[in-house]
Formats: sequence, C-alpha cells, structure tokens
Amino acid sequence: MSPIAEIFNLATQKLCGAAAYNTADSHQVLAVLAQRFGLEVCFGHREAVEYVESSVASHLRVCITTTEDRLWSYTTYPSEPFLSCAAAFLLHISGDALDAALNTLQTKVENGMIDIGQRGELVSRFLWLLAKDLFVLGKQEHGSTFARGTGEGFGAELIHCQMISVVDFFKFVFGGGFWDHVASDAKEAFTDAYVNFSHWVSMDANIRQEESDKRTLVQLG
Amino acid sequence: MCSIDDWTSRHWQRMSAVQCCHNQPLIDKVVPIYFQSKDGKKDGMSQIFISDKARGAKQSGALENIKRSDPSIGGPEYSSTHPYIAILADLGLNDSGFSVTFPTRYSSRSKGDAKCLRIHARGFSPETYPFLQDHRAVLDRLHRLVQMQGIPHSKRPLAEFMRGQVQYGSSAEVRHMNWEGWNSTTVNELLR
Repeated sequence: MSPIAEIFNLATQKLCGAAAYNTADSHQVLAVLAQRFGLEVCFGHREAVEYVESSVASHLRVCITTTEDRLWSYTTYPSEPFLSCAAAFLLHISGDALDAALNTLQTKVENGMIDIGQRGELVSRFLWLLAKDLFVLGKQEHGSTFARGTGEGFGAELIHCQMISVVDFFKFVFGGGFWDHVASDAKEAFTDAYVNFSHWVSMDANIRQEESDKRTLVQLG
Repeated sequence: MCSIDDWTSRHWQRMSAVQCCHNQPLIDKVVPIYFQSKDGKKDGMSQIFISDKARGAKQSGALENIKRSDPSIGGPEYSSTHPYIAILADLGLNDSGFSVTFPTRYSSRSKGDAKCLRIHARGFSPETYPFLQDHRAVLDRLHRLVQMQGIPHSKRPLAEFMRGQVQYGSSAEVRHMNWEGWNSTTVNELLR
C-alpha cells in the first residue's frame, strides 16, 4: 500500500471511528456529512449533547470551548481538505451510500437536531458541493478511487481536490446548452477559470466586518 | 484583515468554499475561482457569489444588487479585471428554469465590478438543475428539505403527530381520533 493510501485509510477510519464505514450508523454518517457540509446542531435538542460528545470522542470533531458548568460545548470540524476527500470518498463509496446519508440527514432535520437555516442555506450547500462531487465522479475512469496520477508516494492528485473548469462545471449543473443562453464572449471570459472546493467553511463575522461596524454606528446615529 | 484577493486565494489553496454569516449583506456563499494563464501560471482570483432564497415569492433586485465592489464585499477600492459570477438560487419558487445575463458593454471605470455573469436559478427541479435528473435520490431528498424550509417546527410532521395524540378527542378529525390508524412504521419513521 502506498504511503498516501495508508494515511487516507487512517483518515477514513478516524472519521468513522470504526474500521469500515457503516451507512446504517447515524453517528458515522453525520461525521461524513458534517466535515464537509457544515451541519449546524440545534442547541437544546434532546439528542444534541450526545451527538456532540460522541462526535468529539470518536469522529474527529473538535471542541473549541465549553460553558463553565460544562453542560454545553462549542464544537466544529476544522477546515481540512485531506479529510474532506476522505469524507467525499465515503459518501460515494457505494451506489446507495449517498441516498442513505441523505436519508439520515433528512431524519435529523425533521426531528429538529440539525438546523436547516433560514433561507435554504443547508440545501444550497448540498446542492453545489454534491454537484461538484458528481461532476468529478462522472469524469472518473477507474471507478471507486480517491486519487489519480502517480499513485506511489505523495505525487497523486486527490480527485475531490482537483481543479475543474468553470465552463464545464456550469454545463454540468445547468445543462449542456448553458453557455448558449449568453453571448459567446461569456464562455470565452471563463475559459481559463477553475474551481476546486471540497468543503464548506462557515464564517462567524462578515467578510468586511469593520465596514459592517461602521454601518451599524451610522444607523445608531 | 486580508484583502479580498488574498482572502479568496487562501480559500482556494485550502480548497474551501465559504458559508457567510447570517448578517452578511447581499450574499450567502462565496466559491473561489482561480484564473490560470495559458502557460499554467496563476493569472488571478475571482469569485462565485451565491444568494440563497427559500421563499415562495420572487426576490426582485436581489441578483442585480450583488456587486463585488460593494463595501460589504470587496469595497470600492477593489480592482480586478477578471469576471465574476453572481447566482440567485431562488429554491422556494414553484417556477423552474434559469435566466442568465452577461454584459456586452463594460465601463472600465468600475474595475472592481469587472464583467459579471448573473444567473437567476428558479425553483429546485431537474429543469433548473439538469444534473439532478440522473440522481433522483438526491433530487427527492433535497426537494423534501426545500419544502420543509417554509414549515415552522410546530407544523412539521412529528410535531403535528404528537399534537394530535395529546389532544385526543378535541375534534372529530382523524388526527384527533384515529390514533390506531398510524402504523408502527410511520410512527417509528417520525420518532427516529
């Protein structure tokens, strides 16, 4: 086994907290989803504390801080592209793995443990990142794998971190005729453009926070 | 604080896309775009800006208002010749399809707002996103979540079921009377 394959296997096992991914285990499924899609746990839900504790103990979730009485922890999955590739690999490891994972997600949203957002943010995160996953997997020639290129050593490229053409990606998402809807110079303008996102990172502040603070001060007079 | 170019570049190198915070004006998501020159070298950065909407009514102006030079994003001093993409994902509309525009003329005075490809994606269906046609399971699961978006917690299936159970007899409706009508599979699905 190549060194990168060894590390990759270790990453999948640490994320699952088990030797093999089990799509019937909701903790494993939520770990695979939360690492990439930024799932937000609803404070106060009866299953939330147990989920968070289990995720930190066994599924690589990281505790940022706890309340003084230790009743609640603020936890998150740090941005980690290698782990995102491992999670993506598991999410699509078999023909029905993705559906099983989305079924678990749906259940957890319906019972109120996972927050769906105010404006469709969660669905939108799934829409765009799954579109990119499915685009990449559709281009794969060698079936279920996590890397391509020189597989020995660390020269291989992780397939879910590869850069993909914006022109081709939008054709995949919106249909083959997408670029025919606009003048030809639009397609030309993005010919040399690429995306490579493998996971979502959530911000706690505005992109230009000091501008927001200024606006607030002006509004307050 | 990072410049918008540095911020975008660092997210590109981290292979991450950004979910903005709830107070962020105009946009909800940013996906880094990398421009590569013909000789394989970096030519600059750009962005895909996404605004999510889940309401049933069309959001007029939300797409046109997305400007990279807005003080809340790049700021008026931001300068780039690379085009960017603005998407209004109107997930809650019953309508479907998309419209796309790209300016044929461009004022060189507004350098931060180089040409913008604007996409209004209406609804959540294979007509809007054809790739979902080949992935019906994804379509059905996510569509269910889109539908749930507009439903308050108190109106969701589990809450409705529980309310009917504790208000037994309060009306002659099936939900208040026919508790035995729920088969165990349905209840287990709701309670899971």
